Amino acid sequence: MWIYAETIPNAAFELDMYDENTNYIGTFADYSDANGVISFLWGLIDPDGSQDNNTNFLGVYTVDTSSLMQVSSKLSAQNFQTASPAQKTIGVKARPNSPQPNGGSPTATATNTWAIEPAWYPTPNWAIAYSPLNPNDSASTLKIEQMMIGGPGGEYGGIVSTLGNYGMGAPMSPGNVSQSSAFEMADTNTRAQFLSYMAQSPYRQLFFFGHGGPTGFGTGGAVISQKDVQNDLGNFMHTAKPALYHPYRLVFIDGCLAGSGTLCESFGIPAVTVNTNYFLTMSVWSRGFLGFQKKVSFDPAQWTWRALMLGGFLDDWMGQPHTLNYCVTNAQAGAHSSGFQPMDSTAVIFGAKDLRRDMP
Amino acid sequence: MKILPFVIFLCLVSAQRLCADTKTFDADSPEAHECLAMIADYHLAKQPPPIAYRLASMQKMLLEASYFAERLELPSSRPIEAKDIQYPYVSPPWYSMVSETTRPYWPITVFSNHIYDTNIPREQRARAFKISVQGTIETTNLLFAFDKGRLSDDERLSRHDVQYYSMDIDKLIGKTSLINDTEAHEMATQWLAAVDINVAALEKKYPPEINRLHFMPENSTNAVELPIYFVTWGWVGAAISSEPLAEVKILGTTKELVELRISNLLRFSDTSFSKRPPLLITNAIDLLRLETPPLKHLEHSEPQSGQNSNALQSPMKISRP
Repeated sequence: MWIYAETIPNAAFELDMYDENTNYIGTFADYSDANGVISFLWGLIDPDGSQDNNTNFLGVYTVDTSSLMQVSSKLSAQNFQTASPAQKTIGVKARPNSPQPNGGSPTATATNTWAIEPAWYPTPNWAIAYSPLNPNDSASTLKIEQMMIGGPGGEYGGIVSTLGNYGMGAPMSPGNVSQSSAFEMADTNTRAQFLSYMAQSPYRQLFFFGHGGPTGFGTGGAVISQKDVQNDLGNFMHTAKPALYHPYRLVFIDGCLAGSGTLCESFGIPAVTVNTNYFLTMSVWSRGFLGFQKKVSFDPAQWTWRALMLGGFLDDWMGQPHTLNYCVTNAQAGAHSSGFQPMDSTAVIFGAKDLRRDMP
Repeated sequence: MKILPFVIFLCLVSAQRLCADTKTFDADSPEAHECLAMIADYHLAKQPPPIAYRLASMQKMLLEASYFAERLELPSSRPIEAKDIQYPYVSPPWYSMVSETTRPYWPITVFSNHIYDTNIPREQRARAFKISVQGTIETTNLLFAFDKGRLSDDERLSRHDVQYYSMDIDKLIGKTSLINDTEAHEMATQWLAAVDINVAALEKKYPPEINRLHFMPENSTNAVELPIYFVTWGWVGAAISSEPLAEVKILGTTKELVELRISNLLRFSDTSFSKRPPLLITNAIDLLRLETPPLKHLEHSEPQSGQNSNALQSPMKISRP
């Protein structure tokens, strides 16, 4: 099990673990890192060496806040994790009057629980949608649709015609038809529809084009927020009862700033850049999120080149067992679009950078 | 003195060539428009490519896959035949065009950077494209991927789209490896050499690395080393931000080859390590013109005597090919 929390930097903490019946199991004691991150794996082994068969756990943090005095007020950029988290062994502490870290200092308490991720399989189904960038500009919206379809007859690749039954044969969410149409999310009705498609269990891959932000994507009147995704998919990473009921295998939000926050976590993809071994050690399917860390632009006049870029990206990803990083590198080089409309250089992969469609 | 004009001519040719090599075009230029027009006219990026093109590509993929299967002694029938293919995929030719490795990725043709020059007949230019084989063929237990005309991945599968042992890693816990790092490297180089990779040149430029898979069993807090070996060359850059130029994955318990990969990523544009000739579809333009025939269903209808008595009737012999 992966235990992850954010608190103040370099703080001593204790994490008391309880089973689902609130029986005390044991305690982890350590320090958060320089960014305030607590991240480690627990092999579900109790202090006496026996396997813990509980499904849900309750964790109570006790954090020594004395180090707050030493915390600089400046905000530092997130340091993406590049290795598997440390593994820890749970220990039993004397209760209830155990000494606090650095004894007698002020403390803060938070609670956390975890659930094991239910078994799932990365089916090839894609949830696909686009939103108008400017609802009052029908000409621009038409170009976006063309980009999604790959133009008349799918002549320029695009998303829908490359993935659909004329191309890779991947099942797509309703409204997406090869060489014909792409689903437009433009109002409350279509927003609700798309959200319901996303939540259906076969869909484990997603592509969205439109406005994006650190905490959501969509367009005026039709925004899907991080919370919406979290609630409808049942992926709770940082709540009292963390559980990932519908994690996604691959998510590509082709819009501004979607990679600048923790939107990925609502899809069950941690906001850290790791490799497939990271997930392998937890015995769960690897997964990846592709977004951009800055604002990106769309030039309606250049939709053909962008459709070719996206078609090439998917040909690399689905047509061959290339790593996600390989596909992004090629797209950023504009290798499939004569160098035009390359994927934005601020693309970031959260989750497994070496994700491959044929590997767990 | 006759040599002077010749030297000057040579200099001029060289200068012109240099200019040609560095010439680029912008997205709104006539060249860009012509490029897009050719893509649409010849259906270069359209899915799926016409059946004739796909069959020609698959034929070449089968031959090359059979060569690899033979040389690597893969567990398959040899030669691999069309009936063995469970899942075929052929990339549209636009994505497999042989081109330069820097922007704007001019197609490598006799027309150089005049390939989109409308003063030259379009058909003539289109026929100059070098289109390589790209796609995958998958049998019940093997996947062969082709990238820009070269076999880039040969992988054993346990089932469709799932690499051999990738779902059964826990079964390897506690199993003894029959090989060590040195032997894994030796086996890997032998396999690479068997499929015509110049191993000496490869290792001179990219020293090998040998690693084993580390895995944390479900009931443990300690990662264990499993008998799966990764022998890699050219693993450049940060540990997780890149992929190797070449990789051989070996199952140490049986000494079986799990995967052999040779990357064609742009930064590894040097394919001189492979002595295998690139697979090209030389008549691609003709094949792309052949429309995929429509699907028809056989219908059953009773012959009606007396009707259509003036129609000529002649028996037609149909033989199975």
